[in-house]
Parts: sequence; C-alpha cells; structure tokens
Amino acid sequence: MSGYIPIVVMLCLAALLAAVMVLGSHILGPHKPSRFKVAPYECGVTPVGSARERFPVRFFLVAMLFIVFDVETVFLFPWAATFGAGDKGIKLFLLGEMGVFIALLLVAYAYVWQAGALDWSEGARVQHEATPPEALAVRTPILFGNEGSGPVNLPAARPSGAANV
Amino acid sequence: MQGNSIGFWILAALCIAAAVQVVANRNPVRSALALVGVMCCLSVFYFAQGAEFVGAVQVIVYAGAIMVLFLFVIMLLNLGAPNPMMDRVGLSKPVALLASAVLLGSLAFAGALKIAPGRAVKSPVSGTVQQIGYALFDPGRPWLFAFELTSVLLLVGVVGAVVLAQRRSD
Amino acid sequence: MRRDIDVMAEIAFIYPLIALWVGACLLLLLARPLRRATRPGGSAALAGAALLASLAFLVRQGNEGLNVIAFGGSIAGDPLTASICTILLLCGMMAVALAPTYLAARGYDNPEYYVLLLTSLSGAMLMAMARDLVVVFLGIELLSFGLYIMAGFVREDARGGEASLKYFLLGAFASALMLYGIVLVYGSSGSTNIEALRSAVIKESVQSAMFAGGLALVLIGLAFKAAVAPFHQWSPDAYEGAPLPVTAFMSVVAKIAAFAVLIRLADSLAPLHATWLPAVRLLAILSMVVGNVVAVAQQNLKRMLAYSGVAHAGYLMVAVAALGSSHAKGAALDTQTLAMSGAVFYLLAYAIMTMGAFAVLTYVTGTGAECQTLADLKGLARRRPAAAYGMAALMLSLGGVPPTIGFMGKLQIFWAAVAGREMGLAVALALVSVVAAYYYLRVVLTMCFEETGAEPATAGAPRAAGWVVAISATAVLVLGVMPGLLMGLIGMVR
Repeated sequence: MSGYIPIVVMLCLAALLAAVMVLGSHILGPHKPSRFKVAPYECGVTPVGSARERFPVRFFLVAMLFIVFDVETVFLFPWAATFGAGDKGIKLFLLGEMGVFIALLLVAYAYVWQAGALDWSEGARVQHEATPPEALAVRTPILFGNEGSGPVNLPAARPSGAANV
Repeated sequence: MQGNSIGFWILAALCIAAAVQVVANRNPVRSALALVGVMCCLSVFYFAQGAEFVGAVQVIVYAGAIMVLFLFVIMLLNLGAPNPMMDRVGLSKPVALLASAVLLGSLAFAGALKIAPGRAVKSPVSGTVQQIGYALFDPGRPWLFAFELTSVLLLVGVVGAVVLAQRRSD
Repeated sequence: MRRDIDVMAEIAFIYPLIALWVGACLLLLLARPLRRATRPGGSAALAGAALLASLAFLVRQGNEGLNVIAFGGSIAGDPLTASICTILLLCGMMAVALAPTYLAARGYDNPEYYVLLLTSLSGAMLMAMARDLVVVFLGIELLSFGLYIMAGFVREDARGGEASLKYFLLGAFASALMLYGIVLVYGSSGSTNIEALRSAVIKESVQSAMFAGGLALVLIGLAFKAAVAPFHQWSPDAYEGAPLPVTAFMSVVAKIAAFAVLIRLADSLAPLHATWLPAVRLLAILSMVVGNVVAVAQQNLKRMLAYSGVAHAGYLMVAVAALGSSHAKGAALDTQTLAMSGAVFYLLAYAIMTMGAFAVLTYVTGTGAECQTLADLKGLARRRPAAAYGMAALMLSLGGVPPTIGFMGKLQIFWAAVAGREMGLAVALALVSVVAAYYYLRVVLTMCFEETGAEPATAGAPRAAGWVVAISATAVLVLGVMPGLLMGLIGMVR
C-alpha cells in the first residue's frame, strides 16, 4: 500500500543517527582505559565468573509459556477491533467466542500455577533441573580498592565455557 | 513506482544478507540476532503488501517471543562460544549448497515458464486488523472453529512445556 | 455477519469433542488432588469417564449426526466420520486401561498423561470430521503434540527421550511440508475446503503443477503420520523408545486418523486420480514390501510391530488406490463402496489386533522391566497360558490367517483391489502376506516351544491390561467368524 520509499528513508535516517552517535562519542570522548573500566559492567558489582553460563531450564519454561500467552494476545487484537461493530446480539456472541478461548487458557494458567512452574523460591528449585554445580560455586568477590592484589575474573580467565556442554 | 521497487531491492538485499549471516556466522547468538533482522525485513514486506496484521504479528511473536526462546535455548545449551565441533560436519555444507541451488533453480524455472497459479487468488480481505477480525470471528466462516481449536492447541503446549521441564513429582 | 446460523445445533455436533476437552480441563484443574490421592487410578477413571461420555454423545447423535455440516463447512458428519470416531474412542478406552499400572510402577501415573491422551484423541477425531484442510492440519498438530510428549513421558528413560525428540523433529518437518502443501493447494484453487476442491476439480480441472505439488506435499505429510514407507523411518525408533502404553496408543490412533483423511481425500479428489493414483500405488507397494521384509529381521517386538504397522499401512494404501482406480475405470458405485468399507473394516481390525498385541506386552510387563524382545516371550505358554493364547490369536490375525478378523479384512481389501482392477496391487498383497505369516508365526512358536530356565514371578499382572487382551482376542476371533456383526457399522459407510 504505502510503498517502500518512506521505510527506506526512515531506515537511512536511523542508521545515520546511530552512526553519528557512536562515531561522535568515539571521536570526541577521552580514552583513558584501566583494567576496571574495560571489565564487563555488572551493576557495579565485580564480575563473578564468565558471562557465558548455562541457564537453568526454568528460563526456558518461562519463555515457552510467554510465547503461548503472546499468541493469545495476538488473537485479542482483531477481536477488539471487531467488537465495536454490530448490535447487541453479535456483541454477546463475540464475547462468548473470546470467553471460551480465554477460559481454556485460564485453565492452562491455573495448571501452570499449581504445578509450581511459576515458583522461583529456593524450596521449589530442587524440583527442577538444578543449575550445574560449577555455576553455583561461590567465588570470592574481589572488592575495589585492593588494586592489583588479585586478578579480576575476566571471561578469558575462566576455563572454556564450552567444556561443560 | 520506480522508487518503490528500489526500496524493495534494498530491503531484499538487507534481508538476504541477514539470512546468510544466520547460517554462516559461527557465533549462535549473532546468528539469532541476524534472524531478528530477517524477521523485521519480512515484516516490512508484509506491511508494504497491505498485510498489516501479519506484519505486526511477525514482529510481536517472531522477532519478540520466539527469538527470546531461541536465545534461552542457546544459553541453556551454553552455545555462547563458537564451537569447534560445528566445523566437523563435512558433508553438510556441499549438500546444503546443492539443495539451495536446486531450490533457486526451480524458482527461476517457475519464474521463466510463468507457472502461475491456476486461478490467481485475490486476497479476500485486506489485511487490516479489523478486516481479519471480521473474517476470523464470523460464525458463517470456517475460521471461527479453527480459532477456538487454537486455544486447545495452546493448552496442550502449556501442559507439554511444564511436563517436560519439570522433574518427576513424588 | 450472518445470523441465520443455528449455532447451538452446530455445537451439539461436537459434543463428543467437547466431552474430551472438558475431561482434559477437569484433569488439569484437579491435578494436585489427583496426584496426591492414596489410591492410584483416579486420573485414569476420570479419563475413562470422559471417553464414555464422548461415546455416549456420539451414539446419541445417531443418524442425525450423519448429515450435519458445521462451522462454515469446516467439519461435517457422515458415516465414515461416525465409524472412524467410534473406532478411535474404543482405542482410547483401551489405551487408558493399559496405562495406570505401567506408569505407576515408574512413578509417572500423573493426570497430565491422560490430558495429553484425551487431547490427542480429540485431534484424531477432528481429522476424521474435517472438511477443511486447515482443520485437518490443526487436528494433526493436536494429535501429534500429545504423542510427542507422551513418548518422552517417563523422563528417566533416555530412550524415551530419544524417541520423543526424533518423533518431534521429524514430525515437525512433516507438518511443515504439509502446511506448505496446503498453501500451494489454496494458492492454485482458491479454497482449502475439501468439498470446494472437489467441485473445482470437476468444473475447471485445476490441474496446474502448483496444485499437484501441493497435493503431493499433503500426501507426504499424511503418509508420515500413517508411517507409510518411505516416510516410516521414525516409527521403529519412536515405537521402541516410547513407553508401552504410549506405543499402543500412537501406533493405532495416528494411523487411523491419517487414513481417515487419506480416504476422504481419495474419495473427494477421485476425478483427479491421474495426479495422485501413481504415487499412491507406489507408496502401497513400497510399504507392503519394506514393512514385511524388514519385520522379518526384527528381534524386538516393538520394532517388529512398527514394521508390521508399515506393512498394514501398505494394505490400507491398496484400498485407497482401489478407491481412486474404481473411479478411473468407470467402475460401478459399489466398487467404491467396497473399497471404502474394506478400508474402514481393516482400520478396525488393525486397531483391535495391534492394540491387543501391545496389551499382551503390557500385561506381561506388569510392574517389572518392559517385555519387548522375542526372548522375553520364551515359554510364555507355560508361564501365562491365557496371555499366550491371546497373543497367539492376535498374531494369527495380524498374519491374516483364517478364521480371524485380519483375514476377513485382507480379503475385503483384496476384493476391492480386484474389483477396482488393481491387479498388480492385489497380487502383491497376496504375495507379501506369505512373508508376513512367517514372522508372526515365529512369535507363536517362541511362546509355545522355546523355554527359559528362569521362572519369573506371576504376581503383579495388571488386571485392566488382561481385560484388554481378553476382549481384543475374543473380538479378533468372533468378528473373524462373523464379520456380519460389524456390517451395521461398516455397511453404512457410504
């Protein structure tokens, strides 16, 4: 319908803006790197271990549930756009259609809840695939201040993460 | 019109470049991000064809939810680092190249011979959200039942995800 | 929007499906109390009640359900639908009866299993009801999702996980191919409705390459689900790895549902037989030969029954070919009726025989390690005579030895092939039956004449599985002698 030209213009503008911002800060900003500046930023806490860590399967479960309910919302858009048209009887009918749809997904939601799949407390964790032991191993955090006294755990310092696949 | 087709070719080139990256990049996370690029380009194509709803769904479901799932799988399997094991698959590359050559060839063949559909399908509705809603929720059409079936399918999906991800309950 | 549609009447038509879905929802909502119940079997009882309710609704519809067209023509009732749905529900009941003891012994008698079973079965029934390719596809997915997960239900069992994953990956690939096929069919003919396709075929003969390609992909997708050679590669591994009750369920239900769609497509698209008949003939021959020849080499009974399933799919393909061929050669209408009723009769026979055979294995397994190799059956005639006699009857029937239902079924398909002038297929059917008799008889001989030193405990045999064995073995013999008893069900197929 509307054609591609505006999209291409928009794309070019976006690319230009991004390029200007990145290059601009690179050219204009001062560069005084130190070991802590180049370390990965983890909310101000000293990095602990590699960022490449095996995720517990629960993330995966949540992602799958998210997709299912995401697809549900996709159907809600056209339904909401249609609902305004038509008289009372049709509206009631539409309400019933979506009611059945939502009711089935509510059953799914209730099931997920009672099965404990949304429970992230420590007690529930034992029931699930445990995090691999090396990921749980506590590393002594190295605090800022005692500079040079110990190596900061940069990703390269850790044995290859692919080994435990 | 001329400008439109230029725009199309630029986007198509972007799309194909991203698709090649998906397959060729050694780093799975980068492949996944390149796939997001492919999805977004496709979404633009849908929009430009007037299939606005499909375009939006492409971004919401595929570029959004499904890509998150892909990234979680990559992290679950700890594939973040390039894996030298992946290079060992000797025969797969030539076979894949051959298969894509055959597909491309048959597409070109079909294009050259103009093997058009027996009856060109005019899109029955324009692809706005409202039009799709009218088609989907009309009790006189077959799609309403299919829509309700989808909810049963989603229910089974949820049960399956929980069953497979959880440990045995004693 | 049209308002002259009697929605309630249309909904009444799918009461059998709704009963299954309500049962599934109840199982999910009551999952926690059911899992904690002290006496096992509560979930199975609830699932059985849902199946009974579904069957009651189906029977109550009676003749009224035979000419309903519901939901914009996406599903409809006719004798084929009604008989296939009845067979499917009976299979579902047997599968539910097999599950509790087996699963409880492994700590997995969870309500989720029965939820998946019920939804799977509803998917299979949908495939039988569907008049729209979109609904066919949704039915296949509903059927398959449950099967994928059920195959890996006992998660400590690595082979179950392997079976589940293999089945899922190949199944998803086949589904994608089929979906692509549906898109091509829609693109070339402008409709996904099977009846509309039929009229499009008759009126304007949509014989474009695109339509043929789409039809081929749909055929491949269905052949995969029915485990027709050469799309059967998943079935031996999936059957072997899956828990026994799941193997019983998936071997029967997936095949029946896929053939319900194949029969309907062959019937509707018979005017277009030039496009698909050669492919169906090829699939039939390949399936009969590959299934029977490879089955001879199997020592594992689950694998043997998987290949035997491939062979039986080949016999059924002969009936499908006869259906198209009878149209091609302008044969009388009763030839088509013969092919169709023959196919449905054989589906019922296959369901009883295969379900019964897996029931014997489940019965002998009890709460112990899975009985799945030929060696596990040694001396069964002495250890458990009743189960051995049942197994003998079922094996003879699978091999097509008179006077069993398997023989009657094969005879009907043979007649249909002859009447449809598919002489090549009829001869092939007769020839491979000789090979088939060999490996089924070998099971009988192993049970009766080979002895093991070990004397396993006789306790712990599941009573429900025993009933399934008894019923199926009796049915195999009684219906083999008096197939007329079934004609009430089958005779009205057309």
